[in-house]
Amino acid sequence: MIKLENIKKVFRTDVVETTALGGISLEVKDGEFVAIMGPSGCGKSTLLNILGLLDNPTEGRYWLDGKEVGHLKERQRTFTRRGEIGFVFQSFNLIDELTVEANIELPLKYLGVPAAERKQRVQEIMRRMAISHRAGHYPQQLSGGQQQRVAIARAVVVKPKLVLADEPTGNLDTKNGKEVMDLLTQLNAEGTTVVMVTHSQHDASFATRTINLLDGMVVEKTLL
Amino acid sequence: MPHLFLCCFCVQRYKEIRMQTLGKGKKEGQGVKLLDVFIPLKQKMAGEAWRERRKDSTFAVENGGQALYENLYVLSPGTSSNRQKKQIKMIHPFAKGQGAFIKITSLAVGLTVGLVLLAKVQLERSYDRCIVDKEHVYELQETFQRTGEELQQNRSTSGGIAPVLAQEIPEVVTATRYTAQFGEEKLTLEDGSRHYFEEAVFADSCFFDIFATRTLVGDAKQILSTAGQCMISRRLSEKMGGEVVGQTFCFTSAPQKPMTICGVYEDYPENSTFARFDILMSMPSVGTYAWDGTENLIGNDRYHSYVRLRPDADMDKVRGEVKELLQRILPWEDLKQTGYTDAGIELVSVAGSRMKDTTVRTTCIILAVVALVMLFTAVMNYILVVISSLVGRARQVAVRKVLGAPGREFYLGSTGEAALHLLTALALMALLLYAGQDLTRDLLGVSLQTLFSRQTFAVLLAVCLLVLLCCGILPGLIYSRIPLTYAYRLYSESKRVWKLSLLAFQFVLSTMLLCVLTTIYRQYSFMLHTDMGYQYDNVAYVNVSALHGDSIYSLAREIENLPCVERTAAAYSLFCNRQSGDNVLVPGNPQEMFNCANMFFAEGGLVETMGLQIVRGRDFERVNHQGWQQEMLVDEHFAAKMKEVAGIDDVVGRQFINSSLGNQYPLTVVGVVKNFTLGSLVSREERPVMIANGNVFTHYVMMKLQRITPDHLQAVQQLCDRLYPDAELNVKLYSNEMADQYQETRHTRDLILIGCIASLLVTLIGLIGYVRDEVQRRSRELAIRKVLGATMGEVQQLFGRSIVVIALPSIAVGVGLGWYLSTLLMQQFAYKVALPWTVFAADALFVVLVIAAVVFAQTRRVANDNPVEYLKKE
Repeated sequence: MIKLENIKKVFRTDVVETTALGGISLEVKDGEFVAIMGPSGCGKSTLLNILGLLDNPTEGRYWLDGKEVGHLKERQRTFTRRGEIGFVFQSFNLIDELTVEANIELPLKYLGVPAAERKQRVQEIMRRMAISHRAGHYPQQLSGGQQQRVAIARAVVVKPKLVLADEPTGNLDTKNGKEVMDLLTQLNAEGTTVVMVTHSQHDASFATRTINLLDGMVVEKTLL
Repeated sequence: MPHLFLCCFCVQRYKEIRMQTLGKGKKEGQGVKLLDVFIPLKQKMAGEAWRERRKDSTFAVENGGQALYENLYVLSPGTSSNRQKKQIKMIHPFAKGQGAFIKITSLAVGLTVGLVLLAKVQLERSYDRCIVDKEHVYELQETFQRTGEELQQNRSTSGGIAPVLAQEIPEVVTATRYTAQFGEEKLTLEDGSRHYFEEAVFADSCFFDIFATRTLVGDAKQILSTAGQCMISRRLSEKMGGEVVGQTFCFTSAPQKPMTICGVYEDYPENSTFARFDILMSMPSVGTYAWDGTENLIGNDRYHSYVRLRPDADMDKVRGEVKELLQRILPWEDLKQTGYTDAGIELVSVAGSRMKDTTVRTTCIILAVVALVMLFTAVMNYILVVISSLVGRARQVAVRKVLGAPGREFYLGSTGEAALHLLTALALMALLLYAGQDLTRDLLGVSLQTLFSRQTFAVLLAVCLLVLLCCGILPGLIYSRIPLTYAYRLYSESKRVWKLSLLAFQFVLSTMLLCVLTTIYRQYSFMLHTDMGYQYDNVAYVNVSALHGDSIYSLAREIENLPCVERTAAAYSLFCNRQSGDNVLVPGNPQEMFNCANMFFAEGGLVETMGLQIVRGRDFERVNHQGWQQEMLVDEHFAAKMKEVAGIDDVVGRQFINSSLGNQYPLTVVGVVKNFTLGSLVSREERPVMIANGNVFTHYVMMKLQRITPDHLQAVQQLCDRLYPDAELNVKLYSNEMADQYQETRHTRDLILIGCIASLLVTLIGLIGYVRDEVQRRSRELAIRKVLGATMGEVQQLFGRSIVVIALPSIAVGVGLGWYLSTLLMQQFAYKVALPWTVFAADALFVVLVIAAVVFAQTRRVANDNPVEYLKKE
């Protein structure tokens, strides 16, 4: 599914050069649930952004589903991302002006799914995430847990092969956090590859494999 | 409980903050930022107190918040009160992120154009203020009717009418008249120095009784009633060196007829009919330069006559008395013999007469509309920027409200800011006007000093105050309505309805101005390029008023000998000028047939030089010496009119008399030329035309060049300079003279152009500001959309759609208003360009494209940026 070879990411300003990733090589197989852990500033989110085609590496090669995508242009990255990758963020990143239903429908729109099918798929995923009763609500009217469920629904409504989660329980209490992790586990069980960045050992325990980062390098890979 | 908590908190906060500031290494006495106070406040009030606070917005004021707010003044004991106050003041006119540059720029542009145009309109409204007791002053206009013709009215009378009325009508307090003699010309003082002047008129001794201005030197009454004496304006006096009283001078065109300067009068204001007069010659001097018609009651009707009536005069009675007087004094039998059925004098009030003129009124309406559009656009833009920059200010305002700031503070603060912005904009405006003062004078015909004088001060001040109120009060209102909750969360209100409404107004106004601009451009081009029945593309001319006798004839021949010149002809007048009128008679019949435009004399060669077409008969044969022949050319109109009124089928070979030359010099028609247009499309000559053959009394040498090139013009100019070095002859293009006929239209066009550019500029500034702030406000949303797969185009569509939805109807309304104003503008032109819908559609398309380009350019960056950067910020 994912293959990285000596991926480096360097941020440059006029005066400072910061190496976020110092040459990472790793592989994630189809259907895996991988947790990426490490202290703040170790490059977890940078790695996740590269995996999600939100950013390009400075050096190195990246294969997604057998296709090299490491140095695509913005437009090509967008088209590759559509329908292939779902994102779940710590701060949910729902659009405040759109209802729950519209938020979930958005990636389908960009994918060009016909309106009738969109409606049906949105209803289906809302039922599955137990948020159907909140369809007409706006994000600010929901609890944190509900918002994250909407975010997960939005991420998986396009049936992506890969879900990238950036500290998905970071803003949730224990109960809601557990619900979210259960959902991700369930998705993984259904065949979706999940890569999750987390600080939480507890959340990492849901993964099948943990990768530890330190100063932009992989220091340990643990198979659970 | 929460109430008590806040009161205690005020005291506690003072200690805490003092400790915090000192703890951070600051010296005692340094100020504390509001947020430094607020953030711990929020933390302290967490829980029930804070929720209570959110429910009741007046809580802080009623329960100690005011005290806390006021405590800020004493938070730092070591500093002066003023410095502390400054730190918590609302006024931050040049704060970063508040769009101060955009606000000031748009205000400056709007005020510059708006105030200048309003000042011009105000000057027109107060035109001719120098007329004493204006309400009771009347212009005398003669009316006459010939057999079978409609009643005609002239804005002039014969010379003797005004004095007779003053003498015979008891209600007439005073009467005066003046008549022009010399236009822009050069005069020579006895010491040999030469000076240009604008215009010289003959005026009678009562001139200043009605058209008041201060007499600086001399006794005006005595001077203006003594032959050979004149008064000059202060401006001309200064140009001549100041000490000119007692000196004599001669006009270039009348070198042997000296005139003595005996007095100096104060210049008339620029917004006055008389501002262009530099020399007032006594009425008894008329005979020195022209035929003396000062006492005529009929004919020689070239005098502008005015009377002032008693305040209690009954106008109906006065009109009756005038009619009765004319019945007594006019030679009615003679008039009837010459074909007149009626003649009279109309008294037309001068009060408001300027604004009754269609051209002036329409121009004023257009200028006022452009001015208001500019001011309105600038003010709306200001408010738009205020709303757009609320993202960066809402928290500060909300914190103040939490701390108990009274509502008036927001109004005072925003008004203070607006005042500073306005003053800066006015300073910028002064710089702009200073830099463009020549352009302003050229376009408006008045100096900056007059534009911004006492006459306009009150109006302009009122406009500035209104702008200040709008720019101060409305933002104050917006600030005062910011919810307190924005003290602890990001400002997310879009206020798009407000912003888009303001933008919509700007789109409407800009489109409207663009439509009017297109119309006036097309009209000007139409007037300039309409076929006048003659060809002047390669025609140039020299004013030879300074030459006499054979010199003119000789110069024309010398010029014709140049290889670059095809043909020349000396002529009395230019086709584009207003021509004298003369009555035409058939020999042996005392009845005047009709009035025609008499071009007096022109040489053989004029037909070819000006590209006229002879339809019957022949051209003139040249007179190869100074002199004239008793033959003439007429136009088809003349021939048709003669057939209509005298039954003459073919005028060629027939003799006719014109009233200027009299019975002893009948002229024989040798040819008929195809109709051509004398004057311009603004003041088109409708009368039949006659031209006599000769090179006497000619003022111009017309020449047709092979091509108009700088070299050719220079060759002619060098020849003139070589032959007559003292005459200061200037070779000019006829096309420029023609264009000058449409100067008013050109100025109106240029003013609308400036207004339109300024309006578009301000609107674009507003649009750029709007898009920029929308991009900033929605950056997180855009990033999320991009993460979810939106392309650059889709992101740009998001903005484009919201703008287009508002822009299209606005542009449609703008086009409608533009069309209405265009038709209004066209009313002043006798010959007007068509207004096809395609032109307005093109205008609309242009505005749409400009808007699209701005939105595309503004959103391109955010659409291309890495969305992660925006999500990180969040």
